[in-house]
Amino acid sequence: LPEDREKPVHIVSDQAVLDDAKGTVTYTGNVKLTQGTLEINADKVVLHVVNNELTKAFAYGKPAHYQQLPSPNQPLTHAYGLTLEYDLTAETVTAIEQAKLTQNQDTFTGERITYDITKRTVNAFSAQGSSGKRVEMILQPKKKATP
Amino acid sequence: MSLKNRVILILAFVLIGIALLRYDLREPDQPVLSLEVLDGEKADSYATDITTDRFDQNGQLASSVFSPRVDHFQSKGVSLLQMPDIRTWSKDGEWHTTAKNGRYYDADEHIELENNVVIDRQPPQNPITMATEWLRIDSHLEQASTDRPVVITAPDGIAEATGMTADWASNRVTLLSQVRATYEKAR
Repeated sequence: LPEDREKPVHIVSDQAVLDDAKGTVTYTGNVKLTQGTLEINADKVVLHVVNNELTKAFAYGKPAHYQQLPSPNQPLTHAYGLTLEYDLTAETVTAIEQAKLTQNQDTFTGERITYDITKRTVNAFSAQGSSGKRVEMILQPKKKATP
Repeated sequence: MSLKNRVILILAFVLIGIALLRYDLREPDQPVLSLEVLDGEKADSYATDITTDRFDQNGQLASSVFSPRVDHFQSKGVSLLQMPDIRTWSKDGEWHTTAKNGRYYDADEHIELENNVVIDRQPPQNPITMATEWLRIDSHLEQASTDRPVVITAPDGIAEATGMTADWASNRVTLLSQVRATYEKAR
């Protein structure tokens, strides 16, 4: 939801390391990050804090999973990837490696997928070179409004 | 009453008078403090307003421990510290730790702190405050650790966990289990 970005970010995990030199906090073991309706589940999440403000979260898993309610009357948007980058400033989520995103009934897969939370737009990218995974989109036909 | 008894009585009164006089003239700022007892054994000595400094191999001040009252138990090789106030320095800055009680072990020079233990990491490092009920400090290893619940507050949020190690040499704090954290946007 649009107001999610104003909500506090909550995290639970098994362990954590606060590394002042790098300006990061690394959470490991059954990590769950929530912010309003936004939720990320991963094996490991690395938070980047700049000037005492949380700017980015990198989630790693097999796969890491993101979900969020785009608006009250729409189904959850889901994203999966071996790496998920949640940019709190740009308000984007980027799935990297074995990337997949489902929005309404549509499904996108590729090497890298960037989802703009505010605009609800999807940009999908294939891997470099010919052998890489190509972008695939499965768009479900919208049901016609019955007259 | 015979003369002899009368003389003895007078002498007794004189002695009591002198004793009372000496007690009365005792230094007013010399409080008669009882020695602490540990496991049924009384301390061998105590000292007040004690500061103990430790320097690293380069001659830099590495840690400074102050306590308004320390009781030492020779046979146990233990000292009980009241209101210990500990400052430790690493290459990145200072950590300041206070508690209600402390126990220093001569053998391996570690300190155990108890009750209202608060550790403050000072600027220029990112300031954080850690609160727990028990903490072990190994100054020569530049480390502190606890297996108890700990609450960490920072300008951007708060975290709770069970068990923690702090390493001032690498400036890392590791939360060992049951980690729960909340980050708020600066208003």
